[in-house]
Amino acid sequence: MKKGKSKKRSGQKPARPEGQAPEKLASPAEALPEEARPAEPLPEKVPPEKPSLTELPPEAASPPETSEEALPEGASSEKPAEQGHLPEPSEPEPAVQEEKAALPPETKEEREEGAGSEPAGLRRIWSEELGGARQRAGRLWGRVRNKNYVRPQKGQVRLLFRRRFTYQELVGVFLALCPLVGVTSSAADGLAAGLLSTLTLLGSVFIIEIFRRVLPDGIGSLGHMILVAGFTTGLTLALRALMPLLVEDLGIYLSMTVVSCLALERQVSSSQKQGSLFLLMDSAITGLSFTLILTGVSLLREFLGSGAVFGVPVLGGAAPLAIMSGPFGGFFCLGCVAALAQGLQPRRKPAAERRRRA
Amino acid sequence: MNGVSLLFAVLVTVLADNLVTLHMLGAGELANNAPDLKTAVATGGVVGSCSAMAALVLWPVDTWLLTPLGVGFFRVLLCVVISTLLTRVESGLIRRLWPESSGVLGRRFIHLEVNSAVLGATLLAPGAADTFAGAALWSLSAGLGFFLVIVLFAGIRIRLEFSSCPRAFQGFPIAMIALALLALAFSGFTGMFFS
Repeated sequence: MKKGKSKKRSGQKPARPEGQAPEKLASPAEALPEEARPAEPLPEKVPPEKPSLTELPPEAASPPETSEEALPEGASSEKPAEQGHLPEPSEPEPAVQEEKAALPPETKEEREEGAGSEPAGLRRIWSEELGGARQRAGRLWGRVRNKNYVRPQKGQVRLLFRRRFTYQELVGVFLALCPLVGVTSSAADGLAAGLLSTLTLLGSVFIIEIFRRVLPDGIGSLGHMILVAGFTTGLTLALRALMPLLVEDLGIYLSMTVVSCLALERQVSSSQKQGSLFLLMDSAITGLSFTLILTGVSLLREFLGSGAVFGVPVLGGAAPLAIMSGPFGGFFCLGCVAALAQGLQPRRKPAAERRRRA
Repeated sequence: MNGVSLLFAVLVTVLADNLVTLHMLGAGELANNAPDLKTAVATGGVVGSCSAMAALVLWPVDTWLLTPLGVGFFRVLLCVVISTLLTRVESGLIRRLWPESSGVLGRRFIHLEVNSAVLGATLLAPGAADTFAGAALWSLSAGLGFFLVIVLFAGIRIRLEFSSCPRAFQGFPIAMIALALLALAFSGFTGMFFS
């Protein structure tokens, strides 16, 4: 019985995807410890030359969680002939164990018979089908999966944080902020627009990073734009259901988050070489700086224009500057905040002096 | 509608209902532009014509297709696609017909593909007029208004290049304050109307 099974398995090898690890593949029932085998005893009427797995789809016969990348391509199908002599596979993976337990011992005809009559057979067929689907999904994920996960180091993140808050880098953020100057008349709206832009940026970067391997060499600027616009549309729909007043307040500027988000994406695109996690972290930091600046501009404009902070009047009886509520106020406050950022930037010493000190 | 009222309608949109100075859209393109008249004319021409054309294309789609079907939320997506395609077509035409202008714009075409002025014009056009002719007139005037502002602003920036200002205000901040003053000047036209 065992021999027959192993032979059949080796016969099915070519149906497997390329590059699967033979060590892991060679973990059928004989590799399992006694207690891990199927609970039901195998029916004795099944002859050894007609083993149970002959009729199984190839997906169900191969283990689901084996990594395709573990072995170089073209790992030959001769190896499984020596399955019995492999160094003992100490502990089969739990997923493999589950699948082994789920493998039905009968032939197809018997299964079909049993499926109608007894619920256990039906369960087995279901689990078999699910195992196949799971494996297909696993294979697809192996093809799709982005392998660009490099854990950024601590110092690297700190450096990135510092770099993103320098004025030279913030100029890009200020330019990305220009389409949203219209929402700065209220601090709450500014904060909401900043958070929405950050969310859109993170979401679009995340989706692109997940599917980077299957997408053609960069999905192109049009693809990026459509993705970001689609994300914004989805967010707008969600907001319309959850916070209709906010959507009304933001008006067409809610759509302008597409432009801001694309500008921010250009800003962080240089981090792509350093790994997906680093890029996501960079996106989060850039989005944070964007939100902070937008909220700062909004606070200043709201305070000067309507004498309030987040809608709470703070000026008492003093009359606010009505001119700051108009377009002049928006551009003026943005310019002032940018000047503040540039003014707070430590001045770089001239190159000659730096050289002398060194 | 006679010729005079048509001219008034254009003037009102260019001066009072301006995309930059009233709706605060397209400021990024103004600030990011080189302080050079030739570049400003090229950029203004591309963005202005694109915003006019995009609004012309989107108005019928929005009025006769999206609104009756109740799928108005696709407007942004459609705007982005239309504006990008139009900018690409236009950049191709410019490269073929006027290679020297293409050299002036260089890689800025990528940044102009989706910009707030074009997107804003396409989104505002359906609300600005009830008829296709009105929307066409409004969108053409909006493009003209953007062109006017970017050329004026290029002149201001050339002057700013040769003036001395505090270190904190150099570059982007002083450009924004100049734009604020330009917006203030344009706000003097508010209240113009035509019947």
